Amino acid sequence: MRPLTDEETKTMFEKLSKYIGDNIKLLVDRPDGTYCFRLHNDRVYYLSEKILKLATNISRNKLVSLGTCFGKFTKTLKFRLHITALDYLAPYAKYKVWVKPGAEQSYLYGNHILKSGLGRITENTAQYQGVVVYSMADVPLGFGVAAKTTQECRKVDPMAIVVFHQVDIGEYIRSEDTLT
Amino acid sequence: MEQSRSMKRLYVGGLNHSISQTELQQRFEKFGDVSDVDIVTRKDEQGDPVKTFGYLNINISETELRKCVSILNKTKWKGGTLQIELAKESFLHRLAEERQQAAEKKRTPRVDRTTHLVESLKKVGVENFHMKAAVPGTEVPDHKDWVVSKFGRVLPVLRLKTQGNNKIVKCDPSKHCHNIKRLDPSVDSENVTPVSKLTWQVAGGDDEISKKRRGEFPAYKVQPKKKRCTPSNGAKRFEDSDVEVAGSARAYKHFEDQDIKRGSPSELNCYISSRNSVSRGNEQPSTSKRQTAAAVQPRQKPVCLFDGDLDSEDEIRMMVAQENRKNKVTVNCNVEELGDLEVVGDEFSLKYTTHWAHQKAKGGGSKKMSERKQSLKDLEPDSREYDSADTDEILTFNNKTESSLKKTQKDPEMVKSEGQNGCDAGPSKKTPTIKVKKTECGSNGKSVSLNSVRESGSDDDSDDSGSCVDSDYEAMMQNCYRLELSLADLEQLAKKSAETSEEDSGESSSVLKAPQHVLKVAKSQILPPAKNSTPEAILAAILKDSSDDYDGGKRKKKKTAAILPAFKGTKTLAEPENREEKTNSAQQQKRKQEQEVSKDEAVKKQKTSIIQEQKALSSSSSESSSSEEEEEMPVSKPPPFKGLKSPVEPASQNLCQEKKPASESRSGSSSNSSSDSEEGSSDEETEAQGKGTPKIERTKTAPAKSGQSLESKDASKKAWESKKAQGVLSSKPENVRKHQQDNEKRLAALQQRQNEAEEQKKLIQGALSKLDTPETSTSKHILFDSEEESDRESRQTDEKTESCSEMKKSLFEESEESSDEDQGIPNKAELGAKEFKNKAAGKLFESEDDEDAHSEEDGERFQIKPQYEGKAGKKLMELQSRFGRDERFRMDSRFLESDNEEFDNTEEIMKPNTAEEEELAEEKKKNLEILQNLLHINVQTAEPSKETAKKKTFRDVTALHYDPTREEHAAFETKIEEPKKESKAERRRNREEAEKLPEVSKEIYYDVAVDFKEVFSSTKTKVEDKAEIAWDQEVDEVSDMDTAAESQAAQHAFNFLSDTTAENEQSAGFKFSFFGDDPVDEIHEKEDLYKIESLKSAKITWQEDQRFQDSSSEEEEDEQESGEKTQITTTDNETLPGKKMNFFFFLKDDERLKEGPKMFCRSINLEEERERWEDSRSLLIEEYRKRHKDARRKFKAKQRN
Repeated sequence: MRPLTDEETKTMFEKLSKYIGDNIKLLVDRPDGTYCFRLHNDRVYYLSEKILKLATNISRNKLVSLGTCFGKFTKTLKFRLHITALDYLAPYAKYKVWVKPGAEQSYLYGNHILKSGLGRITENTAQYQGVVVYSMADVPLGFGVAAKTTQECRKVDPMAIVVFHQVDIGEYIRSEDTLT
Repeated sequence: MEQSRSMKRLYVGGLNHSISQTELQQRFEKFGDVSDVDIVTRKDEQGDPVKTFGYLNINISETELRKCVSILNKTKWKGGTLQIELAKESFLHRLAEERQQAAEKKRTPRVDRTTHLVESLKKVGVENFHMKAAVPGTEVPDHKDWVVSKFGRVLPVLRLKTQGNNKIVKCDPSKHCHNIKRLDPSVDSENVTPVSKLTWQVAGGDDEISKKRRGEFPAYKVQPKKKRCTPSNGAKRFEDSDVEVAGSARAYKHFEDQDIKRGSPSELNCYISSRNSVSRGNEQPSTSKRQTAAAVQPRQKPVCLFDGDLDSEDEIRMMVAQENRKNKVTVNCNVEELGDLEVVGDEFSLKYTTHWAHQKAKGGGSKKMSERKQSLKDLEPDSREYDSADTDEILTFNNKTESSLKKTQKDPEMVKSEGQNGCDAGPSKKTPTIKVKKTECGSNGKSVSLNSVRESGSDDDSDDSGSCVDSDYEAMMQNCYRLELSLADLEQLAKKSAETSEEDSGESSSVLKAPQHVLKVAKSQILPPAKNSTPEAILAAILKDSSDDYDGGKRKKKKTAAILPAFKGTKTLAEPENREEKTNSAQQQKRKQEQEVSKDEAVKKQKTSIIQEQKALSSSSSESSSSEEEEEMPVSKPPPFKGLKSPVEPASQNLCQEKKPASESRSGSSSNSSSDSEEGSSDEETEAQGKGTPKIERTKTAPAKSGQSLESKDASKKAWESKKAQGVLSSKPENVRKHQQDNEKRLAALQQRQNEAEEQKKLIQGALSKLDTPETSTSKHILFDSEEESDRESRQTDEKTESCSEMKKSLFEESEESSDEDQGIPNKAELGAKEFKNKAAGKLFESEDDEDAHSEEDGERFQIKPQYEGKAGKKLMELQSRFGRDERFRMDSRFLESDNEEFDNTEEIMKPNTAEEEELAEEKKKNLEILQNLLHINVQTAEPSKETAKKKTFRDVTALHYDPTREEHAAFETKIEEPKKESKAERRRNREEAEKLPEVSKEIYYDVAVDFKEVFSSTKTKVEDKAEIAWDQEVDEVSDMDTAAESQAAQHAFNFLSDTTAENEQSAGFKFSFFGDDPVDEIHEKEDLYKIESLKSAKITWQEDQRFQDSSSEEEEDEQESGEKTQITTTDNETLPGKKMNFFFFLKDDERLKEGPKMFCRSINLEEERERWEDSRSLLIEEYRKRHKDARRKFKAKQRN
């Protein structure tokens, strides 16, 4: 467990900013306490100061997880979001996509969102913009990347992919063992 | 021959382009009468004739024509081979003929085709389109495409072009009874008109055929092959058009369900209009249900073409109508299923929020919002839904209510609100929405209007306009704190002119009118007649008070005690005793209105108190207070108008004084009831409130307790006076005399107040020493002078306002300043404060009932008190808990101050931890830095809590005086003079410096031993020297003289030190020789240089600053000197005599002797110099030209003018 290096922080923030933009600062600079990012086993954890203190008591090889895992750094040093970050990112999401109830399951099985399954979308969504996927009941379901702009979404045929699947809450089950 | 002659049109090709019409005519004239010759010439791009041909009409017989063709065809004529052919008739000719024919036809009786058909059919044995004993499918003899159809009618086989694709469908009436369906796939079997709805009856049994005859067809299976030709692209079209363009997400936030969505007319319009725009123009709009049916129309046309017969047409028409209806539904279903892609704005807030970020989730976690939430924390949960920082929600809610849709499904909030409605809140449900709207209007001016624009935009079918408006709106919204309803908005509201406030008041009052009237009745029953004084007595007291301000303490006391009924009294008395009061009728009306409002509130409060009793104390977060707040918001609107009016009122003290206690009591009541809402108001208001509160409590308790009456009396008097003074001061700035008077009063009051505060402190100390066990509300009615409380209250507000955003703070400071400056200047902030005061004072009459007060207090009890937040707050809480809810012993930050040392100690103890914290903070800072670099935004780190704590340290603005003896107060002094002086001094210094420069140059000159040259030249190269001087025409006679004298002196010196200067002489001589080697070149160059220098000086003279000119000219001289070492300026000549003296005393290693020779050497290479010059020259020339041009232009402009 160690703090992130500048480079890592930058990579991670770049990734996060795709979804929540400048709202990252609300994660970093929280009014309700000191929160920080920690790297452990290539995974980035977001945790409060309290937990940080507690975690110092556990040796590194015994420590499985702490705080909330935001994602992990790949071997090529890219940052990949985990579904566990959803709870923290969803409230701050800039661009959202709502999935129709019929397409929800498909999405939760790891499929892309087709136009036919798209219930609602934030306007002015750019192409390849990171989006948070919601169900029509406003339950956050995961992350994705907009494959089409909002304008294009209107025009494309129903079977066209409008949002690329990245992470969904189905992973809680599907990749239970790797989610820490 | 003659007979066979007919008009023919001939084409003559292969003509030469030079051939004219007459020539052509002459050529053909021998064969017949030629008329109407036309020559056409084709030309290429260049205009050269490529091909020429002609047409001519000729009256010619067949033989002649043949002859003509055989003779003339393929003959050469003027270089072209003729080609003659028969041509079609001229177009014009044909047209004329056709017209003629048509005219002829008209003249002749027209034979109807249908009758002809009928006749012809009759011939074959078809009577009235019925063929006797014919099996369906029999073809009618002699009539192609006429068959006996299924029902025995003789009908034609139709070939119809289907929609969309160009296939032609053959509709054989004998083979299919579903021909309609074939053409229109959307027609389902269910869509068919039931028999009961048919206008005609079909007799028959239950068998298949009779069923079919009745129109009960079995489900139709579309044959796959033929399905292709059905207009399947209709569905596709819908898909495209069904994309819902919700320009604003917010507006449709609640329209989650499609049902609801359909319920909203605007949305439906949106649907339809968009569909209309997409669907092609071949629709046949039905008149009645144009909008809804428009989408379904396109397929009906072919259907109608089926038969011309009346009966069947009717049938079909009915079916079509049915289809229309059904189709509409199906289409909507389609919409739901397929393409209801909703586009929402950025601010689309979710129903569902994750657990941890609940506070900040909605507004993207903006701090403002959380602040606001805090301010509204005491609202009850379901009312929070309206006020929960989500104006959009409210707006949409409003929209919904306004549109009053019949929704089959109401979203939970609606239901909830209705429930609330049903219970007691009555108008209170609506009021918050209005209020929010208003504040939004105040905060961002255009937002509401924009909102409407946006909505209209979404009503339009054009997506782009809607979205663009929305984006504008968003951009605008980003700039303003639209979610915040506290100070920022109120401030802006305050800044608004009186008219707006008037509007507001009108609006709110209109909103509340109806319930008021209803509740008035109730009030008349409920209001206890416990008022201890008659209206006349009160009036008398008031009048007396106006006459004696200071010593009328007791009466004032009485009056204040009677304030509760007083208003009723004044109201009742207002009309008969108009002359005394001298109030205009409008004011009275207003007062009445207020009264009504207050009554309404009172009644409500009673109700709420009852409710509260019912509720569990722990769970309810002060329902009464919340409901009060709800009420208060709109209610507080009318007063601002009054408040603005009062300053305008020309000084009828009677009125003024009479009004003031009212406002006081109002403010007091409001402060009592909801301290949280007060935080929106400025300091002045808090002051007023502070003063008001004790009074109210007194009024409450006065009847019961007479023991503390004296003290409270004093306090009341003083508070009232100070209040009045303030009010008067702020309201009438122009009245200087009054101002002074009031100032005196104010000072006196303040002094008195301070004394009282001390007394009070003592009392509290005594009480605290006695009190050890926690005492509960039994002591509620014991009241000391509640100065302390008022202090606390104001402090509270201070703290809050200070913790508020910067915007608020600016206001705060402004008001503070103004208060420091004796409140003499009614600046905007103060006006605003006044308005706030009055707004808050809307509760004026609440205090009439003791019960009200109870409920208020109860409400207050459950409010989250900001002073108990944080560590210090905890401590304070503990302290407070010792005394229960005793009003007298409210702990405030003053009690904490004694603990500060302790606090510090604990801080020190916690030091070890702070190292870690610092690390974390550093990390955070670093993270933010990275973020800042990444996003290129200004990421502001939250100030450390310590700083904020520092900021929160209390400053009692009310007690703030400008004391010249105190150093801190120097900040309040306006320093206008000092900077000016400084600047003057600076300027002087600058000037001095500028003036010094020449002196420096003199010294340089002094070092530059110009005369050395002469010295040497006098010995060796005198001629050269002279030539040199001749070159330099600037050098005047005097300098010549000087140099001569100098040279003489130098000679002397040389004689004196001949041995030492031998070397120098040599070198100098060499140099001179060098100088003489290329003198022309150098001098030319130098002259040029000089000229340019002069040019520069000319440029500088254009500058306006004189001292700059001076210095620059001096500098220029320097430059000249350095550039041309031998030049001697006139100014320098003055110093020469002194130097001459020095010449006599040449020392051994004289500086001059060393430096002198250097002057004659070029410091830089000649080539370099030349290059530099050439470089600069072009630049200079350019510069010069530019200047010249500018000057000329200016000159021209001047001339023109």
